[in-house]
Amino acid sequence: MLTYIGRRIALMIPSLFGVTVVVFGIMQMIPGDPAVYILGDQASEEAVQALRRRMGLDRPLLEQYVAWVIGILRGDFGVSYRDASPVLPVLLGRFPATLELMLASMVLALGLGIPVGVLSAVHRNSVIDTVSRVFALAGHATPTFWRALMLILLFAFYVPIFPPSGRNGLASIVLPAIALGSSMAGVIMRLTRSSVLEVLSDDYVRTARAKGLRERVVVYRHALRNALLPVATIIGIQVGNLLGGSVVTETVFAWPGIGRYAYLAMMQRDYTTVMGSLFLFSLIYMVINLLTDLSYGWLDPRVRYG
Amino acid sequence: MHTRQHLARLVIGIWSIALVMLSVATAQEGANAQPSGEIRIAIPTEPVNLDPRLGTDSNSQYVQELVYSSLLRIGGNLEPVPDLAESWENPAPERYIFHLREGVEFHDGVEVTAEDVKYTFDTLRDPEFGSSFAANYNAVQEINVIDDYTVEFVLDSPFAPFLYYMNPGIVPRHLAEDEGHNLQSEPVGSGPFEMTEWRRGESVTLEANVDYFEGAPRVERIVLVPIPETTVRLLELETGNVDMAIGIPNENIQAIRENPELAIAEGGAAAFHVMAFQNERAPFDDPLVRRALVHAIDKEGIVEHVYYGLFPPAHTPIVPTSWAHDSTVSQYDYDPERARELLEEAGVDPEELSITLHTWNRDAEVQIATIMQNQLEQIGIDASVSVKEFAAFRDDINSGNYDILIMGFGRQTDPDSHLYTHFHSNQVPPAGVNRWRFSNERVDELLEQARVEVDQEVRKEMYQEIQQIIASDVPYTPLQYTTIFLAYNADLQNVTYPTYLRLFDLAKNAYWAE
Repeated sequence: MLTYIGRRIALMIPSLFGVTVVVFGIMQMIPGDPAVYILGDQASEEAVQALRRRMGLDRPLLEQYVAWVIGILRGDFGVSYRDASPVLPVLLGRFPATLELMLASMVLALGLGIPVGVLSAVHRNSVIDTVSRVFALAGHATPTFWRALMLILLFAFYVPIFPPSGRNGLASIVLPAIALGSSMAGVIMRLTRSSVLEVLSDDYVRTARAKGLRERVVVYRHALRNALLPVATIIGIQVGNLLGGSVVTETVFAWPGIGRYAYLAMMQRDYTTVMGSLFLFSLIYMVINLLTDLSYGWLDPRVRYG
Repeated sequence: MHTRQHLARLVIGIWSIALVMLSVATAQEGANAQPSGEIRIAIPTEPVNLDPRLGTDSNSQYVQELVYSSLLRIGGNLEPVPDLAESWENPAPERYIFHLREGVEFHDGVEVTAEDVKYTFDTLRDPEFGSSFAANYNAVQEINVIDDYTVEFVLDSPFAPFLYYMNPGIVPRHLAEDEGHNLQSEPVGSGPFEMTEWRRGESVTLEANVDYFEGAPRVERIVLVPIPETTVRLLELETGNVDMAIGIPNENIQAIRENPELAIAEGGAAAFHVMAFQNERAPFDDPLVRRALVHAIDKEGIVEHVYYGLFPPAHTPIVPTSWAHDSTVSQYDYDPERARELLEEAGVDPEELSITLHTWNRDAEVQIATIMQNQLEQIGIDASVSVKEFAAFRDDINSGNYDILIMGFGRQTDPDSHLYTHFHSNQVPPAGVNRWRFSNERVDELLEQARVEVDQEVRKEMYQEIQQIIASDVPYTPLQYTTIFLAYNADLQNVTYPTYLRLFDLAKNAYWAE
């Protein structure tokens, strides 16, 4: 087990290296010169060139890249183009807010997706099934920003139960968590449903039923465990969507996390901050996927790490 | 068996957590009651840097202008007015002497002296310090402290717009030089409000400075809340979670005006868009053609479609709020017939004219360009629109690679700041931003004289002559004067918003009706 974890962590190093190449490459492809953005449309060419020199943007790309990667290795993500503050401490300062939102969204997605998925599968083609499938599809198919705005309109304006924005106590996390988590809830519900259906037609389930076990025991003790394996895989992948969705969700709800900060940085071509956020997002994604892989062993004793 | 129970427990556990969260959340509803004496203002984004020498974005400046006092402020007619300096003299064209108010204290109780003024401007103009405002002080040769309350600026040549650049906040030298204090996040000034808390990404709290030299503000506390999404910002205002919102989309203005619980304050005009010609490229090198094309453009129609009719059409680059504005310049009515006649006079057949309208990918610009395309087509011109990302657009217009461009300009202070760099023939890029490649000897001469003329009446005449020439030669034509709107709770009294993107007067004067 420990060797497995060690090997997986070692494997993350080349992956992260790949991330740096991709992130840096994307930044170079985005049109727009940060110096122009900082100085505004009335700046003269000379002023722009002077700022480019000061920011090191006139150096060859390879040199800029190497400097950035060496910085990361030292735990220095560079300084923001916008306000000259070091990127990493700012991102870490905002990390708890993002983590909180992601956890709340996941709790919602799992807490809603798995039980409803099971119910749907067990009562296949019933009203429960149809209604929950419509909701799952809606959650999955509507854009996050639209869901966010609708939630605000409904539950902060017409029926003012929750605050429309900000991060002030538990009430304020409900709407952002629903906006962000409902897409994942939809995916998990649909997957749990189809996966439980598949497992329910397996031989061992028939055996269990033949033994005379009650249906509830068959479903929850025998079927669900095996049905959850593909769900665990998708959770890892969905975390990527949560991270991406947090950019929009945090912006709409004025939630002070990394996503909103990255959005702001992107709008202002603050490349160092954007690169730092993307790198941090990739790292979180990898760690969570490692954790989901480890959860297989718990879900399915046949899985051994060696 | 063990793990199965585990799993069941997990699922149930997750459910209960979600339920608890929901119930707690519902219980907290209504906890946002508004204490009197506090104004909560929603701003578009979080401030970046609260050091007035470094933070250049408007959100940072909202905080800076409330926390800091400056030597001079910019008044409602875009003229310099006293602040920390109660008076100033100009004994020679290149010498300025400022007399400071006595007994003004920074929020930490230390007195503001001429040393702080000298220190602030010395760092501002020091290239090592890295302020974006450094270029404004190129003309300053030295700054001398005459006594505690008198400071002298010596310029290397006369420079009339100088007083406009006396508005950065004066920082306390003793804290700026203290390694343990960071003015970028903990500003300490001598302005009407003192910053007491900055919760990153959440709010900035400012408390009234009861010892403020112009008298204490009427509200006890101002809280700035960054809310990026405009719809949410408005909703927060409508639900009463904030009392004021800056940056209201034009399409919402009418609805807010109709809402009895809200009110709108309009900032003085300072921004505008232009339609500019590449004056070196045929046929736009002929003033007749340029005038003809301006006649072909319906400015009021553009304002109606793009800005819901909120703004007046513009005819000169100096905004109406400025003391140098000339309202008598030639105006070109929307007259397609006259446009055709002028083109004929210039020997240009509109049917054979093919024009590209260049602009960049911002909503207003693209909308304006599309409407203009349509209007030009109505007189038989084959017009197309080219929309690029800003940096690419900028490269094109700097190298003169365009026919007609559409772009906007922001805040304006001294008339020199816009006119000199945009119309002097030595300011063609890369030296400056005369992107229309306009060249007129009389304008050059007037721009140079107005720069060194210290008598404002004489300067005004010079700038008015320049505006007359520009309106008649039309290297570009301004389209509309834009203002910024601020929406607020109608129970707030005495809300004034005289200058563009400035909260200073408002914060000092506004108060809640009993």
